[in-house]
Amino acid sequence: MQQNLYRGIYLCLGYPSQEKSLAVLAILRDHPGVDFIELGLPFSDPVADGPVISAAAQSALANAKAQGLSPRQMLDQALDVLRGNDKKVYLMTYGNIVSHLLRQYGDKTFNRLPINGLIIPDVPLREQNFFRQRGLEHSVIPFATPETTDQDLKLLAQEPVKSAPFVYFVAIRGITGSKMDFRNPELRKQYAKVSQAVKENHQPVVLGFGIQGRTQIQQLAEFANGFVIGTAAVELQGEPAGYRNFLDSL
Amino acid sequence: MTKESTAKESGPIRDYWGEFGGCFVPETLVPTLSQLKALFLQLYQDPKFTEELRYLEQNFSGRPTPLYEAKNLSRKLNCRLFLKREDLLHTGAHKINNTLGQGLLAKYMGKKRVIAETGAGQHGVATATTAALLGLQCVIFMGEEDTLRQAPNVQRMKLLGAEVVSVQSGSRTLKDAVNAALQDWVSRVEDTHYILGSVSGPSPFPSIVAYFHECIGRETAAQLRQQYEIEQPDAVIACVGGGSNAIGMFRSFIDMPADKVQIYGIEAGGISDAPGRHARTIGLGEKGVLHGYHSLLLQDDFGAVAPVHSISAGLDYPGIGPEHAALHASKRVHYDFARDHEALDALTLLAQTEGIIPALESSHALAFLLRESQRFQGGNVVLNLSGRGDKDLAHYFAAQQQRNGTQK
Repeated sequence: MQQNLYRGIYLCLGYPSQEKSLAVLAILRDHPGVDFIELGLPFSDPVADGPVISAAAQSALANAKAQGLSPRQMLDQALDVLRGNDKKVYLMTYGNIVSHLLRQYGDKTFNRLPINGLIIPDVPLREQNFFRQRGLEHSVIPFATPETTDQDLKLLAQEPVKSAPFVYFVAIRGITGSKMDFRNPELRKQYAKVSQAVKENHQPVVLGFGIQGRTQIQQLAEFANGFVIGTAAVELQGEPAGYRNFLDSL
Repeated sequence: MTKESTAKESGPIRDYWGEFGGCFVPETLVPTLSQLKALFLQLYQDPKFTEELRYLEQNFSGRPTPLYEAKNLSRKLNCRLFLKREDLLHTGAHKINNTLGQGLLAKYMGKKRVIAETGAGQHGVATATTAALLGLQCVIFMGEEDTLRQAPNVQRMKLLGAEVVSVQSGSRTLKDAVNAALQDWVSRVEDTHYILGSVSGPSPFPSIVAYFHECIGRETAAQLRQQYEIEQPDAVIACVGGGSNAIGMFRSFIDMPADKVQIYGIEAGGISDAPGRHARTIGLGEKGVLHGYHSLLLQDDFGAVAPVHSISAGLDYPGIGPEHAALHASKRVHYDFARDHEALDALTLLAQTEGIIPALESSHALAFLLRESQRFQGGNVVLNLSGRGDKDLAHYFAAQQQRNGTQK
């Protein structure tokens, strides 16, 4: 993998089973080509996700219910696997699960969890303060898109967004798993605009959505400083050997 | 008070009611929602827009609807009962108020295509009707389960020229249809407007939908005064699923003194309070986020949206509009419920005493009134008859037959 990039992989906890997802998580933890892990907790109504991740989440949720595994237990087990590692860990889940976790843990305990931030796909920039006002102290990763308005770009330059560990650039109008051409000059221009807006923050601007493998990574390395892979990795979660090969191939 | 309640308000658009509401959507939808808000604020007072809407309301859908004093039932209940006849509107329910308004918005915004979610099919039919009228391409998302339960409405939508997409994900019901519509919208915002069907969803939808239904309460208040010389009714009752007909009715009465004008929102109590057997979002839900807004939500121990049940497909929804959650929190509106069997009995009674077959949704409001009639003795009671029951006949007879079978 490209060394100068901030490189992340999304993992759907509980898919195809909790055990198997934890085994794959250990591979991610130990792989030198991965800088950060997006730890996905499944939600019943994942509006930002395409068919592959949605189906994985549905199946993960059904398994968890059958085993009586709560989101809190799933997360605790994953954080056990990651204990003592030096990779960044971001919890990726929908607003309703964040609400649920704040109730289940209590905000004090939740704020002490060893994670580096939350990625909440249904909490856009302008709702950044919602969970903060409800006791959340972890960073909430800000989003930017090719259509983010100048007004919202200004939010990116201000606290609390300013001190978030990175900015998540959603490269595509659509859901996860869609195809994307990173040679598109218009996209590169928009990315540059966002990079410019957060220049003072010294954060990577991570490209998400539409990245399947090495070809796209080479394209995006020409202008971007980070990426995250979702769908293509989730598809391999059931086969640890194939999963490792995939990481090696990037 | 939380900070959000002081968030900027503009015209009829509010982002939050206390802590409820907001705009919880993927970042890619935010510019579209901002654009919708800005265009709505430009248009809602535009004389050309309002005139065109008024003409269609009067001559296409049939406004104003009558406020009918149901004297036979009034005698039985020992009160004066007034029925707001939204059931007489074109397509059979209040839903067309919103689809005409939003359909015109879409046209004025230059969008060629409209999409909508539907559960029972009433909102889908109203949207398909509006799209046919205004020459817009129309796609309706409907859970596979609902397309089977509501086959006649699927046929109506197709006849009106709409494409009906059967949604196969999740529980294959209304909530999944909303997800599918949101996903479609994310990828096609440039030519598409999403005609969301209730006072739910991300801001500005709850405000826009409520705005187009405010005519219900406005007409009712005027009719009470002019036809019946009643300045303030003693009680106002409406059924609540997402809550659009109820908000349309309530808004004209919530500023009247709470000790004089009591307001009731009636949820679907289903079969029992067991999980998955009801749709009592206000009664049994917890705070949560679904479909773009923060409100009360029926959910399970896993933070997943809970399955819901009601004999009425239009009330079969795990969320509730944010304004209702706030009206519940402030105690201005009392939320109660009626069970499936009570709604069936109420439908029978209204049909046989007044010659009006109400929708199963509206029958819940009526069922509450029948059960609690002691509270309303001698009072002036307004009930929003939000839809007609023609669509429910097959379901009604099947349910009655099942009850008779069980009794034997």
